[in-house]
Amino acid sequence: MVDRLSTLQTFQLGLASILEREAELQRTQQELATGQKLLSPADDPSAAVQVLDIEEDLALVEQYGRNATLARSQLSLEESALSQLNIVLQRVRELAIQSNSAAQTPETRNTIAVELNERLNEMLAIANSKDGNDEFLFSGFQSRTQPFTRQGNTVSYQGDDGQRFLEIAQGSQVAVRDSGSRVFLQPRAGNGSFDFSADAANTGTAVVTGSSADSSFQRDDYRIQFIQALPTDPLTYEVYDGTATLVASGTYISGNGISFNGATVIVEGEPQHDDVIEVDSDPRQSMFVTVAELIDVLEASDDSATSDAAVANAVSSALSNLNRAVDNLLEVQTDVGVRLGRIDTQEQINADFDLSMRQALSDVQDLDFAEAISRLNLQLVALQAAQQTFVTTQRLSLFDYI
Amino acid sequence: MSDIFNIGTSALTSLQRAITTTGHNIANANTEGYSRQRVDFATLPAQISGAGFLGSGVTITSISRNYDAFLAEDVRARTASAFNASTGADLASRIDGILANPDVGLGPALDAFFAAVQDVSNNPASVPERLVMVREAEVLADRFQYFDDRFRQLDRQITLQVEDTVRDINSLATNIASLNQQIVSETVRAGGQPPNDLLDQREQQLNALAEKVGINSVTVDQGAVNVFLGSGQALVIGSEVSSLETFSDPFDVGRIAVGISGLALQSDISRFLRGGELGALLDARSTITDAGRNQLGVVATGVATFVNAQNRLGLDLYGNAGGDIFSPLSPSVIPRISNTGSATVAASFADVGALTGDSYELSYDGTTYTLSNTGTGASVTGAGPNFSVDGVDITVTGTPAAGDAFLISPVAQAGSLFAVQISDPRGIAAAAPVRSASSLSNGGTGVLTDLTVTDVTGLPLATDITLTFNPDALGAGVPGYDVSGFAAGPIAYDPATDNGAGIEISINGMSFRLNGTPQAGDSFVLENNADGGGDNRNGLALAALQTAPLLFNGTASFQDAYATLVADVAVQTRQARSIADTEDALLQQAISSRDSVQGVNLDEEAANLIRLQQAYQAAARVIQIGDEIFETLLNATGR
Repeated sequence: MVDRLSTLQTFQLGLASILEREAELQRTQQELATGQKLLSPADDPSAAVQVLDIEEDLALVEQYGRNATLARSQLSLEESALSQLNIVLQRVRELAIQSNSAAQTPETRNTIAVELNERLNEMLAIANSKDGNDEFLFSGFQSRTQPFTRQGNTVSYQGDDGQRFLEIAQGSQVAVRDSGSRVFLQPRAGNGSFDFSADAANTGTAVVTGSSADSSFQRDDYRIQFIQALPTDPLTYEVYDGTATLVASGTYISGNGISFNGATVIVEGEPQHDDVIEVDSDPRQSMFVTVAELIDVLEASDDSATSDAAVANAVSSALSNLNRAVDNLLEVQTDVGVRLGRIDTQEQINADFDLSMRQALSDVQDLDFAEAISRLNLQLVALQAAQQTFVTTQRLSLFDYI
Repeated sequence: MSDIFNIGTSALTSLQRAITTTGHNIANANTEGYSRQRVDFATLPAQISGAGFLGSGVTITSISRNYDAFLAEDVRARTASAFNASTGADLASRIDGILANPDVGLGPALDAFFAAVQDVSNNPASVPERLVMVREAEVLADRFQYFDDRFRQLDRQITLQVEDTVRDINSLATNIASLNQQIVSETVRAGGQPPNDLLDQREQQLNALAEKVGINSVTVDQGAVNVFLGSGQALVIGSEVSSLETFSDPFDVGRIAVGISGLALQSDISRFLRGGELGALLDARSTITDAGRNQLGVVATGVATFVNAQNRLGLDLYGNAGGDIFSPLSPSVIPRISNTGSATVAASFADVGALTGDSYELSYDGTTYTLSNTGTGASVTGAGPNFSVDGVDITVTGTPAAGDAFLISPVAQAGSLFAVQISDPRGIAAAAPVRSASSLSNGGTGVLTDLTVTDVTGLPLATDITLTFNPDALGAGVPGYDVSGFAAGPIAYDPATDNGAGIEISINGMSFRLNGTPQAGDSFVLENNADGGGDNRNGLALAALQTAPLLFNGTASFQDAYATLVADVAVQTRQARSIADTEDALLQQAISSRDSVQGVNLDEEAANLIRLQQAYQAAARVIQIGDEIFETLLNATGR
């Protein structure tokens, strides 16, 4: 369209194309120097936003990794405390069984009571364990308050039901603590529905050898009272509920179950008139109470048959309570194990996520060096060509021939 | 005989001038804006002889420019667009470049702050983690201020540049007016011949003016040019100039507006000034700095408000109710300087999640108020005095005068006012104010879980609240929990239907979930979380704010909202760069077209020189021949 060019124009056009080539070359050089294809968000706005997203994700995953590590160490601490507790409980069980043997004398029972006392202190020490931050493991939210204190044979709890959670993935929290009440105070009592105890004033040798409850069990405190007003009378029993209402009665036969309101208690031995067996419907019992009660009975024992029966009742009750405590402990231990497993799985998931995010980040912002270097070479050639043609064409002038 | 001398002389004279003009062209080959000059030859009037008309030589009718008004106009229009685009791209790039730097980005600061929050939740009772969180909060505040500063710095640079540009425009307008005057008088003096070099000079000035602002020009009698600004506002009429001036914005003394000087009532004509650098500078204030600060402000307001609100729902390490971590932010209200009424306007946030980043102008015409969005232009009218818009409550007190107006910028200042208020790290509320406990004598499997606090007005609890399961709580056979310690009726809960999914209950600002199969008499206690330093429930809730979609009506997290800002600036910059490239190409094309007509080609001039030299030699030869003829005649007659 234009067949006339001004001299200034040819000069400027030639120069402009050289400058343009130089700018392209400079860009490639910068990309190669930084190793990134995104030099500013404007180069690729959607990639820039992706980079922000991915970097946030990476920062989060890193944080979750730290949280998971901490969660694992806390749970490991709890796990080791729980397994120690398990060992102590097994030893207490052995001692309880041992104390019920016919070979025991009041002196040996006292020795066992002394050891049980030490075991109780050991349990207390476990219950008051601390973590590396000087916080109590089993005091719930009141992590600076010592959870358990002992006065005589009474152990009291100052903590609460609080449970600490850590976030190990977005929206996924794992508990790293269990409260002292959950571990030590909440085991089910006795057979799971009720516990029993023989009245301390009993003069006979009645021993409870078994108990059970079915679904129709009506929760209440019951008294089983044995009646034999005259030695010639038949030995009978009467069962009263919490409001002193008679709910069952019958003739006592050693080894037969006494049933009332869905509960069955098997009593053996020879109860005396007015002997009482209490059915305590409190559904949970602290493991400290279990041990303390056993200690009390062992310490008070003498070599009478009545005392033997009291020991037998206490041991029987303590053993079922200990079984419940071990069940409860196992439940907590399983729970901790599951949590540790969850942390492992989540860490694996996090690691995979981290890897794929890093790959994505690299895809978005990192330079393809092979492509960039070949581009650089091409641009160098183009620049040289532009420079050469510029010099050649600018050299031409009609004035040279005048 | 004299004819031949006259013809020869006329040719010599004319050709000499033509050679001079060619020399002038060669000399000005590199002069910017120079139009190649051309000599127009014409025959002298012929003499009548018996044989007919006898030629009497050559003359020059005019020395004119190779000039095409259409192409010149095109260059001017393209200049205004190209300079507008490149200035816009330059301004956008400055912000883009700042956002590009990962070391100063807001994203890493947000990540670091919330990582510190997580660390506090990991160790709620430990002070060093809390100290780190306060430090990270300070870094975050620094980062907000840094970005806000960059926007404000750009705003200040724009203000200075606007002032410079207005000065340039006024001086160019004055030059054009004085050139107009010279051109008219020279044209008259030269009997209508064009003063080519002056015309070129004026063309240059017009192009320089087009670089600064978009103009329309109209050529009138005797070569003068009238110049109008975009909207039709006259800048130069002949030799008269109406200059521009800058004055303070009626809402913001720190910001300037542009108007015509010498008028009694200052009127802002900024929005009519399109094109050129000035147009780009004025645009950049609304599209880059205001928009950027507002978007940043939404993030800042969001972080401060939501983090504060969550912290207030917790208990600090002393066991007291949590306070603000960041200084609370509120909308800024600026009355127009010219307001005469006594009204004041107060604005507050009703819902930070609904903020859009826009600003609003509330004006009063004597009877009704108009509340208009300065970004979208949407407006509502009403009798007042209460308005509610996009999460902001506005209340007018006092009596405004007709014509009074107020500018409500909910978040414009948020970035600069974002600051850490908490100084004692123990003040971070990682614990929740209440906890639940299940009674140790519970025989059933009933549980109370997920205790959260949504409102602390009724806290701390005056007495513990106890929920006791009662199979006949709501009448015989209708089970539920009796509530004691708080005035509330029994809570219906039927294990037969509710066990499994559980039910969500809210009382006294606390919500929790009941589940499982409780036995009669099983109970739960809600109590104050005394000494609960090891509790991290509120800390987890604080940490969860990082990824929660809280902003822009529940569609964006803090990071998302910041990413939107980065994306907006990036897209704008990219667009501006691409427009600038296109406009530059169009300008170069227009210049090429113009230069192909008016530029000097040295080869052409060389060829012309040869041609003119040859003609000159021939003309000299004519005179020599004439002389020889005359000599011959003299010799013949002188004998």
